[in-house]
Amino acid sequence: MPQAVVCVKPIPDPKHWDKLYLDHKTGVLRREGVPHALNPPDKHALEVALQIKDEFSWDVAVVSMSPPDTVKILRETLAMGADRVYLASDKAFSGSDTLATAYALSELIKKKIGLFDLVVCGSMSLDGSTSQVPAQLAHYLGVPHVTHVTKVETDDAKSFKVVMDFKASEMIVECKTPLVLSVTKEVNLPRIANVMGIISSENKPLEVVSATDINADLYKVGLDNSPTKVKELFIPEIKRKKEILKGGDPEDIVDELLDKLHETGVL
Amino acid sequence: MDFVVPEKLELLRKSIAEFAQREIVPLVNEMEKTGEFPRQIISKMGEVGLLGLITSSEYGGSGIGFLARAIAIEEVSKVSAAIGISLQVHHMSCWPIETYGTEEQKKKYLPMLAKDTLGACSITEPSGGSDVLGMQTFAKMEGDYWIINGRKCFATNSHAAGVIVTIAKTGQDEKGRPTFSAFIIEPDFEGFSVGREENKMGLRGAYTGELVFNDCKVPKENLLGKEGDGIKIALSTVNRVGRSGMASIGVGLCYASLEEASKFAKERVLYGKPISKLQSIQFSLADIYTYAEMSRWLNYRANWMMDQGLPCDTEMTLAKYVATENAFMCAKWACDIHGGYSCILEYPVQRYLRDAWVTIPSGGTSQVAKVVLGRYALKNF
Repeated sequence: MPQAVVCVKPIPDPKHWDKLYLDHKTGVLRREGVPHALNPPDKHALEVALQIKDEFSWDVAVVSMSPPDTVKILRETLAMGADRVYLASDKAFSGSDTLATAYALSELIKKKIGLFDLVVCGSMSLDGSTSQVPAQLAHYLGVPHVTHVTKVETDDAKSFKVVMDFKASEMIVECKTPLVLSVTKEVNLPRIANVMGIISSENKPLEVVSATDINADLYKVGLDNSPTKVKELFIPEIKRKKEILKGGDPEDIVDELLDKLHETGVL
Repeated sequence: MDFVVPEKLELLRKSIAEFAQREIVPLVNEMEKTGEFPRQIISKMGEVGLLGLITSSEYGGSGIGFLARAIAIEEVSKVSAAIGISLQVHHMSCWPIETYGTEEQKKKYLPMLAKDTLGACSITEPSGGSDVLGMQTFAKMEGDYWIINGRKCFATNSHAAGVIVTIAKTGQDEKGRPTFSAFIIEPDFEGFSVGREENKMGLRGAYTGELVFNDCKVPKENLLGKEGDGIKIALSTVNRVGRSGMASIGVGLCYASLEEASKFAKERVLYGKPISKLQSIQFSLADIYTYAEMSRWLNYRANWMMDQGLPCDTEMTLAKYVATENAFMCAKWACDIHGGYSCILEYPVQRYLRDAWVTIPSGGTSQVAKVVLGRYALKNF
């Protein structure tokens, strides 16, 4: 049976971001009391895979790397229609940057799933917003990657015609499996888990695996082995700026105003 | 003793909340303006599984249970108590058919009721709802048909229902007291029509209207339960399904009031600081929260007992009485916190107040509930 893999990430629920705060002493983002939720773009990725499953009878596996208490968040993917979930959860993964995360996910896919046809990711996580993991994952898996995908079409689920949207322009790409797609929220409207899906999710497999279980190279994961480090976290200070333009000719003042608006990027 | 809501039901809560935001919120303003029920929501509620929550899987539902139903109605009612009551009364048609119906009736009606057909359960007549024995609607057997004559009023889903469970007088017992039987009605039965549609102050967008039986021909196989079982069927449906449904709507309104009041208090700045910093506002929020939690857990206990097969009529009545009265108080306090803004239609707290008021007499007034609870207290304490 053809195999789709969907990468998802539990993040602090965006509806409760007002409760997040930055600890200026430690530079750490405090998230106590903030519940987790599936990264919203990842639901669009799952919907891409589920639509292929509906039409071409694929198997859909979900993979994630996160703390063990996020299991209940991942169960929602099963309720939506995924067939199984693999969660890589280990202290060794803690603090991994995007490259280390992509490596861990690639090892998880290789060890627990093996051959695959399509990997679908959300174009970015709303908490980190780097958009790096899908491309790095494709590198580790040795397959092509198409990013910023807003439309996915296929007649046979072997070759895909996808639209990449770069805001100023669009690119239509024809590609063949196996590959990695990272999709934006414009690609579809994710389904809502229905009651029967919720009931059946209880009997679907959800396996939590350690770094050892997937033979991950411990020198490639975790905070110390990540090539990038967060130097500083800060909240940009936004202030109102008042400047009175004085002069004689109103047209000159308007020109000056326009120049300033261009300089600041407002226009 | 375990007060933890199962993970499965928390996932259900999340899904239904998402459904309500996506599919129901866009309908609310139009429902308020016109009072019209948005029929397009029926099949969508069927797809997400709301219609079949207490219908067994062999008849097209999920059978997930009454506690799940309480949570689902609560989430729907947070955004629209009108859709909440339409849904809860729909279940009042499903449950008696599954509990008392023949296999043929279950196979015919339950799958459509779980998918894309709205149901209704109508007992109240112009003479009153709680005075069951005083009802005038009667049915007599003629050949292969029951011929029903009479009029029901305050029927929720009246103008949108595809299946209606009702009762009518069919005889009298040895002491001369009237006996009643229950029937399953389809709107296209000869002699059936819908009458006046009420223009309500609250729960706008849920149909409340009259059902008219004018020599209505009901096939004999549409008798629900045995002849003479009408009161038993009606009261058990009202007690176990109707009251828990109304309680769930009340809980939803309590929490909607809490969320709106808290949000407004944090945003509204007076004398240079948010009014949430004022102790008097915190006291009001504390009252809303207290009443909301009280309502929720009484309702969850009653519905959990129903799922366990335990006798729970008193607990259901208690939950309904407390939750609907509390919903009104919570909405009133939320309006107090909003001050003058509570009078503006753009602010939903005024709707919660109107909706809560209408939930109190629905399914039996608070006074009727207190009669039941008072008798229980005298008997047991």
